[in-house]
Amino acid sequence: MKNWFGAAGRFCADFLLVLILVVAIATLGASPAGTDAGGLLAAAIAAALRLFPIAAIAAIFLGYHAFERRTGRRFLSLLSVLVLGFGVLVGFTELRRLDLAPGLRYGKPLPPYGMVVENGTSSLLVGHYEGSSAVLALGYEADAQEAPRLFYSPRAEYSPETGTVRIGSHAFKSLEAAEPAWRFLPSIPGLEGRRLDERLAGLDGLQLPLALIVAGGMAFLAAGLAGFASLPRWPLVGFFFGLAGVVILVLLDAALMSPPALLLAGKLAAKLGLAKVAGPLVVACLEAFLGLVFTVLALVAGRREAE
Amino acid sequence: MKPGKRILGATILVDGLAFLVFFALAAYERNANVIIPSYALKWELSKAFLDLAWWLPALQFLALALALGSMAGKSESLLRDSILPGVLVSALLAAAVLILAPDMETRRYSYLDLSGRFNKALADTRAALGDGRLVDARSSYGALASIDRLDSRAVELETRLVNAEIKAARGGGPRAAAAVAAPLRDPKAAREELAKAEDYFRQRDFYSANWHAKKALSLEPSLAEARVLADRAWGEILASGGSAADAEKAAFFGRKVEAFGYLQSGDAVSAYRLFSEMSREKPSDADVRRYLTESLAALETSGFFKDEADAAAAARVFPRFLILVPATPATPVAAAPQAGLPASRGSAAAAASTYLRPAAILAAREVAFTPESAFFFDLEYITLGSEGGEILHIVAPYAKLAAGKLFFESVERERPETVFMPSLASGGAAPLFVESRLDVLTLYRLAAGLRQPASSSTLDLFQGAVAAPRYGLSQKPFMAELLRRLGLPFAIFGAAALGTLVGIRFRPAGGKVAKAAWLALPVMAAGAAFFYYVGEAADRLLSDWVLRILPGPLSLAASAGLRAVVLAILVMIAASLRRHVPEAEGD
Repeated sequence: MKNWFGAAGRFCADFLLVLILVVAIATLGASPAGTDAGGLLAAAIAAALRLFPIAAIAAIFLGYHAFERRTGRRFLSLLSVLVLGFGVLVGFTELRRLDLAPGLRYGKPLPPYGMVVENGTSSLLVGHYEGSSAVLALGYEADAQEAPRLFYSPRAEYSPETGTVRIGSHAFKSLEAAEPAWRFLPSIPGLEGRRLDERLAGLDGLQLPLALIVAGGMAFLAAGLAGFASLPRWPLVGFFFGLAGVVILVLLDAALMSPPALLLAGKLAAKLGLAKVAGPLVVACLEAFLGLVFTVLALVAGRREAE
Repeated sequence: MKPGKRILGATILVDGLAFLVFFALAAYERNANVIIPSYALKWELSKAFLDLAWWLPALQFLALALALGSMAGKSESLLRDSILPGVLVSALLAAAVLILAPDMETRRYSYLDLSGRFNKALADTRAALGDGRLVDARSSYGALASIDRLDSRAVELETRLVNAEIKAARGGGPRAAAAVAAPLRDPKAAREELAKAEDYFRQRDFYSANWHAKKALSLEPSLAEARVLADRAWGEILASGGSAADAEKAAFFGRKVEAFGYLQSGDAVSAYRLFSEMSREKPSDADVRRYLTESLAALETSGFFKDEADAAAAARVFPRFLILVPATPATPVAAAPQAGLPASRGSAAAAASTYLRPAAILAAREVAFTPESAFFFDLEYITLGSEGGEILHIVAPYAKLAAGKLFFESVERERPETVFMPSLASGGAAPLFVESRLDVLTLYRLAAGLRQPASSSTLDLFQGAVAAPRYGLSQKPFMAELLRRLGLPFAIFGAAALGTLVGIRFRPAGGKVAKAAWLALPVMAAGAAFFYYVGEAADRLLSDWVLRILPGPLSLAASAGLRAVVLAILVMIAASLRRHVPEAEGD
């Protein structure tokens, strides 16, 4: 029992560690210049509620090894990571519904000065700002058809509200164009825009029982894959299988929960005479079934090894 | 096999396989409509190398994990014996990538850029040929042929162009190569030339008399006296034993006189063009040699040939170049008081304005470089007074920076009547050149570091980063690339350390690996790639935030410290992994 609690502790530690890592990456990557501590905290909470399934999947994969090593029992290990993973997924799914994340309020960044600021094909350089004046202001419109493309004023008009510097009749933006919001999960080929966080947003409107089933399907699949990944006799292969398994699971889940797949699942259910069954439920059942297949394979292999 | 040999073998095998995969991917990715065939293989090779360099840490992790994960023996002795070879191989790989990657990036970009120029010239030539614009077609074909004359499309176009030119010549139309415009009629100048001819005739200098008379005739074809004088002078030349060779001699002499006239009148560009042609014909002619040197010297003080700029641009060009021209390098002036600014911001502004007392502002749509010169396209140059007011706003289609001068006048070498003159934005004549403190090498470092930092050498990047604030440029692109490069050795060493420890910890029972297990290699590579992808994203973000907090070169030290800490933590985590194989079995 002591070993089991030790492994459960390791599971929780792994979950928190991975969650902190992915949240830190996502938050720091998506926060524009000038973000204050409050803005970072808000972004971190929002990221945690978006990306927790990744941490849960990673914890299931890492935790499975800990349980198997400490308890020596494959079935117990699978059951343990399934239950703990399900608990974490359900807990965070409920947290999403509490609307905990405060609105993202990023501070307004100050315009840089003393250096060229590029915004599309136009550039602006301001020596420094004094209230509503831009001292030593020069703007350049590289794509203008005819000269002059370069405009200069020792003291130009600056509007802090709009963030523009006006040199003669030409207006220049004082800030660099905001880069597209950085996303932790890249676009998946063929699944443009179908990221894990969007998948979760789609599930937010589901009733609690259905959300629990969806979380259960995912936990089952993760646990089954974790058990399957540990089968190779060369542990190094199992280690890499585990890494690959996390990726496969994230991609598979995003694919299965994409609108076309859900629509297909709904049609399939209707053909089977289960028209009232929701698409997510069908997909969750499919995930759980796949998880069951992998679990059985892992257990059978385990028995053969024991013999 | 000893761990050292195994590590080396695994590294070569994994990196070699990966290179083949990247090469295959590059070949698949290459668009035949974008990269021209003569650069296809070179582009694919450089792309494959750059991909290999990017993924090297992941590959090193995989190679060491495989090498040591398939070995039998005591963990401690394996670890001890693998440290030195692992470090050496990693150091070699990191050094090779840091040295070769900028050059490869330059090549990759260059193949892409040249292919783009070739395709554009191809389209332009075809369009001009289709419209019957033979001069334009020949000009576009020149650009095309300078990149790849042997390309089948270039060969086919040349045949079509030559045929069209022959056809046009037979029909009396203007041939592209002979399309230099005839001089305008100028009766007054013709009279002056005739007077000179008569003067030379009286001095019995019949060659000069003949040449000036013909010149007068070309300026005023109806000037019968000139025709008569030219014939008389030629008759005298023939009477004194002249022959066909004398005719050539006279023509050559005439050209010398013409070129000398250009030089005397200050038209160094035309003088240089003529003396250059004559020098190719008669390199031993003392007059030509002497005046060629003089005309070149004169040319360098007033303008340049436009094709110099085109040749520089054909090699590599950097878009959108906007800088402040520092007033007095290395002698910062006192900062102006920063009223209305927060204290920290005010002090930063003071620091920034320490340098921001420019003597001028320079902006160009594009800039290209040769070792001695910088060429600007669509240049604008504003000179500033001591109070910061605008004095001159010069606009020039082409400009050249060389030897401390910025030249604004340029000319077409083959069509000297086409001169590109500077003008003032407010209207009126602009100076042909200005003295400038700008240094070509510094500008190159700034342009390359801003637009293509991956192709700059590390030293250039660092020096560019140091110089950037004085020219009103952000240090960020320079520092971001430097931080990325600084991260590479850490990433390779970190990956090698983790690979070593993971390999040793996850060895099979009995130390024997089944052959079938190697079939999992692609999955293992995918797992390592994922691991590195996340790690690289984290590292990039860390660098980004270090730069936000410490924008200058200090960020290098801060980043190195942070990475060292992260590396130490990773090694500790890997070292704490429990071994899967009982010591008694595996050892």
